[in-house]
Amino acid sequence: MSGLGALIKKELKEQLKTYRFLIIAIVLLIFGLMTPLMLKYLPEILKIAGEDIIIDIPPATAVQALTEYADTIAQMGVLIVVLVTMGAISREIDKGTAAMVLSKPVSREAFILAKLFTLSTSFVVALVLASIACYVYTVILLGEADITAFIALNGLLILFFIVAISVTLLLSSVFKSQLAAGGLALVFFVGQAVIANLPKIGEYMPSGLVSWGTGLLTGDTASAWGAVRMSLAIIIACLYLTWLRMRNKEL
Amino acid sequence: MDNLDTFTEILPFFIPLLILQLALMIVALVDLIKRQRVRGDNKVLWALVIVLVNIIGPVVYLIFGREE
Repeated sequence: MSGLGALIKKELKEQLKTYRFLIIAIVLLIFGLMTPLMLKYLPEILKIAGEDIIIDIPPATAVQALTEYADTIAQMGVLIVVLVTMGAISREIDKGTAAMVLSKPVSREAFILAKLFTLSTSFVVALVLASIACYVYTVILLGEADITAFIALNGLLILFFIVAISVTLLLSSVFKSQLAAGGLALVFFVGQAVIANLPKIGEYMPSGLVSWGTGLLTGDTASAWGAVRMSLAIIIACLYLTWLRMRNKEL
Repeated sequence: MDNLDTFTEILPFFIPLLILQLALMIVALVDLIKRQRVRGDNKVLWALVIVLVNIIGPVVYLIFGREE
């Protein structure tokens, strides 16, 4: 696996230069802050906005805020993953930079792993920031919540994002068109979310990671190791297929 | 509690949120101004998208609009 270190460095620089990291961090932070805020203040904002309708919503709870955070971040996160990853490989092949990089003594597996590693790192850093922001706001506005469960939930969200990155990377190596890769990646995620509602097979879908995480917040003890195993299998399969695709490709 | 009180109570919590959205918009606008060519060759249209479409506008510009 030659040249991995150098490639990671190059990719990290690229992430900053193309604003990828900034986009990921700001968008996740915005939704991290917004969820507890909206839950707490939406009834009052509606009141300021006029109209004397009496809205009868039971007061929001901290668990509710963190659960909603997880669902929103999972959805928005996948969308952002797809947007920043869908051209990751096809664009480099198109512009000729992939050929340039791979003419140096770096292996193709290093090329792929460097991309997976830097994208994942960006999401880990962004999620740490967003979760801290969300937790602080939740505690201030809505009260205490189980921090251990929340940390575990974020760990599961990270795994969920890495699945999304691997799937989109594979599609980006297969399709020349960024939109085709991005569209299919979204279809994959909507599809698995639908299947996740089915009995038996549903337990193995990556979405199970998110529901396991939100279950932890309410003290639900049902674990979802099936989803974890399936997620790891998807990541490994996607990396392998991306490598096969890159190995056979004339650049 | 009247509306003004509610407003001043809520406002400080929204400031970080506004700063983040503004930061994203400014980064996109500065890049747009500095860039020689953008996709579609229409800088004015991109500027409108960045300013008018909250969060998504700047993100779409930064990912699709920039031409190297």
